[in-house]
Amino acid sequence: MSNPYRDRLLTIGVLSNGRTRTRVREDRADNGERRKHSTDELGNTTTEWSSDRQDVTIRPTTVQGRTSVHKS
Amino acid sequence: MAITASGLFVPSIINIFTNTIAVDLGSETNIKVALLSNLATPNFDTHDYWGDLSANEVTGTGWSAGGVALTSTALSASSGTLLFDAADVSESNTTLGDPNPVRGCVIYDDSVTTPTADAMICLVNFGSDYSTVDGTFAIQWSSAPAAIFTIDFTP
Repeated sequence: MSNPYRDRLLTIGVLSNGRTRTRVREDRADNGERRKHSTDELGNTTTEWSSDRQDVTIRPTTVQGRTSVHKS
Repeated sequence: MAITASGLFVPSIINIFTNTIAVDLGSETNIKVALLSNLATPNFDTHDYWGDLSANEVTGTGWSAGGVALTSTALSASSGTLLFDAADVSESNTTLGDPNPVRGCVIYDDSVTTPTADAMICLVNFGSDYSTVDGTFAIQWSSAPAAIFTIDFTP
């Protein structure tokens, strides 16, 4: 059963504050073709074009190795 | 079977320290990045050569088997930490991920031939599955820190 008050709060972002979700942005390429950029919670972006083309941009975090020193 | 973490391949580090293999991370042609699906099960304690994981490589149009060479490779030191970095990767007109999407990548030295070919240095977990369709596959390495991997020698 839908709750009209909850639905309204969701649309203005009150309940989404602090939660991670995919960010979506739409634009047009230089040739006028429409694109939708979806950036997920990992920071990686999938771009869907109106021509069925799909790009991916990965933004990985640094692989961090550590040594340990045993202090006497 | 799954990629659950990023990491450095310890046997390769041991092989370097024991003069078993010679790895030049400053090479502009031999350090390559190859893509893996989530069918791969890397073991950072036992895997050391690309053949250990290549069965789960993701290839396709615009992205050949064995991967692409990293350029502008650089090793540096900062506050007791070793940093390895390279130029971002970008390959256009690729179709990748069918039937197995891309989940991560391996960086390896293509010039190593003995005792086994292609010593793996590190694996980067992308965290999710990705595919391209006649599009650009790009990897933008971290800028803070500016490194693909680091090793903190003075923790």
